[in-house]
Amino acid sequence: MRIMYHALAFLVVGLFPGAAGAGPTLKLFPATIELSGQNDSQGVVVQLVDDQGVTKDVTGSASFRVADPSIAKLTGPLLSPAKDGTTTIIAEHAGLKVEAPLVVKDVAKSRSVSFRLDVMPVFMRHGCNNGSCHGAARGKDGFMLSLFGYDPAGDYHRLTRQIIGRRVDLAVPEKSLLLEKTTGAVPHTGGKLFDTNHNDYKTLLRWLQAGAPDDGSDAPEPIGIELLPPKIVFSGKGQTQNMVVRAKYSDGSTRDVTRLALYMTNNEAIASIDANGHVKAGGRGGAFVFARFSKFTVGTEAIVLPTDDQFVWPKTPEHNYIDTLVFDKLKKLHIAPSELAPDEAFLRRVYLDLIGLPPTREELDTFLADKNPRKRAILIDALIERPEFVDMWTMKWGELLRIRANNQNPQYGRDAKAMYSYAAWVKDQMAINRPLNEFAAELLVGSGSNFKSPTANLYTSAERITAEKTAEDIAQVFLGTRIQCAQCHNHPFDRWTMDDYYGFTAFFAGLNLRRGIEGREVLVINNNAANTVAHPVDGRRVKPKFLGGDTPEVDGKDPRDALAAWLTSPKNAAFSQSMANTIWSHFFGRGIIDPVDDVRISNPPSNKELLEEIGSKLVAYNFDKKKLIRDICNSRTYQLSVTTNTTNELDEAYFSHAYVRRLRAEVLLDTISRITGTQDRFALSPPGTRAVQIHTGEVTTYFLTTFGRAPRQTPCSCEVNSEANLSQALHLINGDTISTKIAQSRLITTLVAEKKTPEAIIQELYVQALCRKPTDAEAKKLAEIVRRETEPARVKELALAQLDRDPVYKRTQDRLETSKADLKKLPKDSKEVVALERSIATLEQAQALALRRIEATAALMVYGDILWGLFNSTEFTFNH
Amino acid sequence: MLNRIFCLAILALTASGLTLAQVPKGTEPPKGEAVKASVTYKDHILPILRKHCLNCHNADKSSADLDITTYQALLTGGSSGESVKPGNSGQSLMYQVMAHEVEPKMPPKGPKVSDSELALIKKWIDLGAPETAVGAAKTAARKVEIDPVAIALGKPKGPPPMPEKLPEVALSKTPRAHPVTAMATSPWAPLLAVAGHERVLLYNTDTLKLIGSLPFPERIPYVLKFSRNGKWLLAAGGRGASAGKVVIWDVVTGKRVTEIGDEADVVLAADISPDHKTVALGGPGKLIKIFDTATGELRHQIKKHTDWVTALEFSPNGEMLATGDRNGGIFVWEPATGGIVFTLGDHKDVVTALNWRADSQMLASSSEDGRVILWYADDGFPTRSITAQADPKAARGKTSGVTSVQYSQDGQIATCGRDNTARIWKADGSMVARLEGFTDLPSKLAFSHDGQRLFAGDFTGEIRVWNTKDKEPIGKLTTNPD
Repeated sequence: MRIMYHALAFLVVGLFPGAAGAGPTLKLFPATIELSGQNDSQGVVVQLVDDQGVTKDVTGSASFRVADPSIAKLTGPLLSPAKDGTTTIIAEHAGLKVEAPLVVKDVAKSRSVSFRLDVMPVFMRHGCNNGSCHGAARGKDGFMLSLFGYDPAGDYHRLTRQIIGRRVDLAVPEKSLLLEKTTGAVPHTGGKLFDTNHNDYKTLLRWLQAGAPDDGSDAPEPIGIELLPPKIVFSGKGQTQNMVVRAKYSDGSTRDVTRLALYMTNNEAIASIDANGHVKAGGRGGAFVFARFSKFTVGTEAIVLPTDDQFVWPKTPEHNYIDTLVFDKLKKLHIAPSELAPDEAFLRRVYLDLIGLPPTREELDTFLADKNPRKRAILIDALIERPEFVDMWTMKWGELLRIRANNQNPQYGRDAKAMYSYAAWVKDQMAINRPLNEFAAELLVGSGSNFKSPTANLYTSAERITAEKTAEDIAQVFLGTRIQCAQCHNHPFDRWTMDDYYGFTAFFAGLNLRRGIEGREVLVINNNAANTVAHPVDGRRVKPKFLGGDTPEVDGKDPRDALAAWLTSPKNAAFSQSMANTIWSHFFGRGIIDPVDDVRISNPPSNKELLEEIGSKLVAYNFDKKKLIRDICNSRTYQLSVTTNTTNELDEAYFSHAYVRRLRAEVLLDTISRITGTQDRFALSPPGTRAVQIHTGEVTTYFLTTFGRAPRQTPCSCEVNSEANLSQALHLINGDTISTKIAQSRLITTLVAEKKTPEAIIQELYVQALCRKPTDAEAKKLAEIVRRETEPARVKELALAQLDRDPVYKRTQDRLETSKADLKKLPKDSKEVVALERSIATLEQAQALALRRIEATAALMVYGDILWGLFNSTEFTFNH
Repeated sequence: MLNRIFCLAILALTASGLTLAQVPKGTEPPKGEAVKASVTYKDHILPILRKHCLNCHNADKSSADLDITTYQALLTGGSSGESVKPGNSGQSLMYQVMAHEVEPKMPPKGPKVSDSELALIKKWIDLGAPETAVGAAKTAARKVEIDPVAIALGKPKGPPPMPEKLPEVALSKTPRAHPVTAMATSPWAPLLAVAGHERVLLYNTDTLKLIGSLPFPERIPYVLKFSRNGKWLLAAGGRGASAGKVVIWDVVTGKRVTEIGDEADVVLAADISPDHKTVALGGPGKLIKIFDTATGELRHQIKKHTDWVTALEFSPNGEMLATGDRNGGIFVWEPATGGIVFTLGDHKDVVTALNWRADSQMLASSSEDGRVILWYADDGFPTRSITAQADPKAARGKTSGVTSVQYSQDGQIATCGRDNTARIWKADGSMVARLEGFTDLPSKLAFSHDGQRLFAGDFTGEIRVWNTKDKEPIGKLTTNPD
C-alpha cells in the first residue's frame, strides 16, 4: 500500500514539475464582498495564478455571474446591490472557476454624502490639500486646507463658514466657487480638475445640495484599507494588473475606494501605477505599489520576472537560517546568488567589517594555510572578541547617540567632561556586551547630573530640549522611525497621525534641564506632574501613548519608565527589528529596510521574512548583538562574492551578491596608517588613538571630513557619508595624507634593506594593501617598471631632478660655490687658503653624501609610487 | 565706415517701410459690417483673458510682470517683453504661449483654451489689437447725475427716502436660503436691505414686511450700504475669482444710478462717501481703489494691505476712510488724497467689520481674533478692547471670532460671532444683553434707524429681530421669501 502511495506521489510530481502539483488556480478579490446601502458598489479583480506563482490579471476576459441575480447586479466586474440577501459571485476563466460569498444589506437605505467620507477624499485624490497647493501652511490664493486632511473640522469650517458665501453657495449649489474653480469655469491656479460629469463633481454637488452638512459625531471613521490583489508576479515587461482598494470603517462596513485612493510606487522602473490603480510591469525585479486613502497607506509587492524566463535555481548550500530566507526570496525573484567569495576576499571583508583594520601579513598567511573547513567560523569568533570590535560598535553608537562635546545649546552647553563620561559609559557597555535592550532602557530613563550619570546625556545632545525634538530623535534612533512629518500633519506615507506624534511626545513633556552647582554640569530633571502636551489642532491635552501602542497609566510617575519598559520589551518588534536591521546594514552596506532609520509603510523591507527572523533571533539571543553578528558573518549570504551573474547583476536590495562598499572614513584612514606603519594625532585624544576610537563628533581631520565622518549633530544614519566623490579622489591623488604617510613609512625601506627582490617587494605591497598577491600580469609589468626605474643611470637621472628640491644639497652647493670663488680671489700663499681648501673638501664630502642619500631615495621612489597607486585603486578604498 | 553708413541707411529704409505699411491698416476706419465683425479688447478679448489668465496676471499678482486687466498694461507686456504685437499674431508671445506653440505653455495647468477662443485672439491681434470698436464711446465719457450732498451730521430735511415704485422683478425662490452675506439699514427711514440670491431684498423695519427686491445678477452681494442721507443704496460683490463691482441704486425709484469698478474677483468691502462724490472698494486683490462716482474714473489706488481687503467705511463726516484686511491690519486714510492717517495694527486675525459712530469720533472694529476694538478717531488710540463673544464652552486658548460690529445712530453697539450669539453693548463697552437662539453662525447686524430694533442675519439666511429696549425677539425675516 505504502509503495503505491509513493508511486502516486512520484507520478504527481512528475506531471507538475517544481510545484506542489496544484496547477493554475483562479483567485477572486475581494474574497468576501458586502454591499450595504443602495448606492454602494464593489469592483472585483480576478487573477490567474500558475504553478510557478506567476499571476495574470484576467478580469477583462473572465466571465462573471451572480448566483442569485435578484440580489446583486453586475456591470462588467462591478457589483451593485438589488435586494437584501446572501449569494455568491462566480468568475470563470479558461475552464477554471472561483466563487466569493456576497452579502447585500440595507438596500432600502441611502447613505447621505458625508464630508469626511466622501468630500475630503476628493481633495486628497486631486491633490487640493497637498503641500504645493491649498495644503501649504498658509494655503494658496487665500484658501487653505489642512495638509493631507489632518484637520477635517478645520477644513469644513474654512470651506463653509470662514468667509460666508465665498466657497459654497447653498442657495444655488452649482454656482459654488468650489465647483466653478474645480471645473475651470472661473480661473483657478490649480487648473481644471474635472468636468461636470465626473463622479467627484457629482459627489461635491450632492453634498452641496444636501446643504453642505458636517458629519455627526457618530459618523464612522476609516480604520484601515486593503490593496488587492495582495501579490503580483508579472511574467514580463508590459503586463498589467488592476487593483482594488477597500476601506474598512469603524461601524464594521466596507467600501470600495478604488476611485478615491491615491497611488504610488517605490520603483517606477519595475512597476508603475497610474492614477486609476493600474499597475504596469517594467524591468525585472521587485517593487511595491501603494495605495493611500484617508490616513492609511498600504502596499502590495509586485515582482517582475523576465519574459520567457528559463530560470533554474542553482543548488546552493545554506549555512544557516539567514541563507534559507534570503534564498527563498531569490527563488521567487528568479535570481541566482553569486558564488562564495574566495578566502582572501572574505578575510579582508570580515576584518574590515568586524574590527575596522585589514589583516596583517601573518594573519593572512595563517588563514590561507589553514586547512580546517571551519576556519571562517573560527576566525569570526576570534575577531568578535578583539578589542577593536568594541571600538567599532562604540563608534556606531557614538554616532547614533550624538556623542560630542559641543551640543550647540547656548543655554545648556555640554561640557567636554560630560562627553568623556558619556563616551566611556558607552564603551564600557560595548565591552561587557550589554544586551541592547538593557542598554537602551538605561539610556531612556537617564536623569540627574550629566557628569555623574552618563546616561542623562541622552537628553543633553540637542541644541535645545523640547519634548517634540526628543521624541523624534528617540523614535529615529531606537525605533528607526521618522515621525517628524506628523508634528504638523498626518504622515503622508506612513501610519503616523498627529495623535500618535503628540502621544509619543507627551512622554517627554516633563523633561527639563538645569545648571548644576558645578558650573559646567547640566542636570536632567523630570517633572512628573507634567505629562501631557497640547494638540495644536484643537488644544486638547494629549496623554503619553506608545508609538503604535497603548496608553499607559503614568499619573504622578516619570512616564519614561513605562516607555523604556515598553520600548525595549521583547514583544516590541519595532525595536528588535530596528536594532537587528542596523546591525545587518553594517555588514551589507544597506539595511533590509534602507535607510535603517526610515521604517515606514511606503519603504518596505526588501525581505520581510528575513527582517522578522533576525529581529526575533535578536530577542531569542536576549539582545546579545554578538550572537546575531556571528550568524550574519557565518551566513553564506555574507560570504558571497561581489562577482555577479546574469540574473543578479541588477540586484541592489536582495543580497544575492556582496555589495561593493566604500570604506568608511575612519576605517580607511586606520587602514592606510596601519599599512604605512604611521600614527595619526587627533585633538583631545591620546597618542595612538585610531580614527575609529575618536570619541567625540567635533574632532576630525580634513581627510575624515572629506570621506564623510559623521559630525554627530543629528541622529540621522545619513550623517555617515559612504558615497564616493571627486574631492575624495583628488585628496587621495594630491592630498598630503597619502604622500606624507608614504614618505614617513618605514615599510619600503625595511623591505629594501632586507634585500628582497623587486618581485617580492611588489608582492608584499599588494598583500598589505589589497590582501592578495598581484596577478602574474600585474607582477610582470610592475617588475619591469621597477627594473627600469632602479637602473643606476635612471636613478641618477631621478636624483638629479631632485637635487634642486633638496635643501641640504642646495645649501651645500651654494656654500661650495662661494668658497671656490673666494679661493680664486685669495693670493696663493695666503694662510687662509689652507683653511678654505679644507673647508671645501668637507663640503664636497657632505655634498657627495647628500647625493648618495638622494640617489637612495630615488631608488625607492618607484615603490612609493606603487603603494600610492594601490591606495588610489578602488580595490583598496572599497570593501568587497 | 562706408559700410556702416550703408547699413544704417538700409535700416532706416526698412523702418520707414514698416511704418508706411502699417499706417493704412490703423487709420483706415472699418465700415459697415466691418465694425460689427471687428474684435476688440473690451468686448471679446478681456472676457477670454479673464477666464483663463486673470488669476496670475492681474494688477496685484502680475506673474512675470504681466497684467492683462487693462489694455494699456497688456500692450506694455511683461518681463518677457511685449505680449502682443498688433497686426502679427504669429509673433505675439501671448498668442504663441496660448496656442502652445512655445514654452511656457499657458495656462500652465489644465487644457489649452478652446479653439474658438484662440481663433478670436488671433483675429484680434491680426486686426491690430484694437481696444474698443472704432467710434464706440469711451468709458470715461459717461456722466452720472449726482446730487451733491452737503455734509450734514443730522437728519436731512424732508421726508426720509423710502422706495416708492420699485420695478417688478421676477426672481424664483431658491432651494435653500442665501446666507446673510450683507445687510444694511437706512439711517433715517424704516428700511432694511438684505442680500439674497442674486438680489437685494428690501424690508420695512417697522412692519417687517417685504417691500420688494432689486436684482443683482452680478451674483453674490457682499456689501450693502445706504448713503449717509439715505437716498442711495450701494451693493457690492460679484462672482468669485471672476468679476466684481459696486452697484448704486436710487432708493426711491429702485433704478441703477451707476456701476463702479471692474474687478477680477468679488468686491468684499465698499462704501460711498457722505457727499456721494467718491466710492471706495477693496477685495481679494488687496488694493484699495477710490473712484470718482460721477465719471467712474479711478482716483487713487492704494497698495498697502498685505491680504484681502475685508472691511471698509467712510467716516460720517467724510474726512476719513477706514479699511481692514484679512490679516488683521487696519488703516485710516484721507480719502481726498489717498494719504495715510493711522495704522491700527492690534488685531491678529481677519478684520470682519469696521463701523464709525455717527459723530465720527469712534471707530469700531471686529475681528476673528475674538476682539472688538473701539478706536478714538483723533489719535487712533484703542480706547476699549472687548473679548466680545467670550464662550465658556470653547476649548482652552480658543476665542470665538467676532463676525460683525455695528453702532446704532444713538451709540449702542451690537456684535455677533462664532459662539452663535449676538450681544448688545453700551457705548462704554459694557454688555447689556446676550441674544441667543441662532441655529447657525450669525454673520451680519443692523440697527433700525431709530435704534429700537436689532436685526441679525445668519448662515441659514434667517434674520432675527429683537426689540432693543426689552431685548425680546419680535420676529424673523428671510433672504428667501416666497
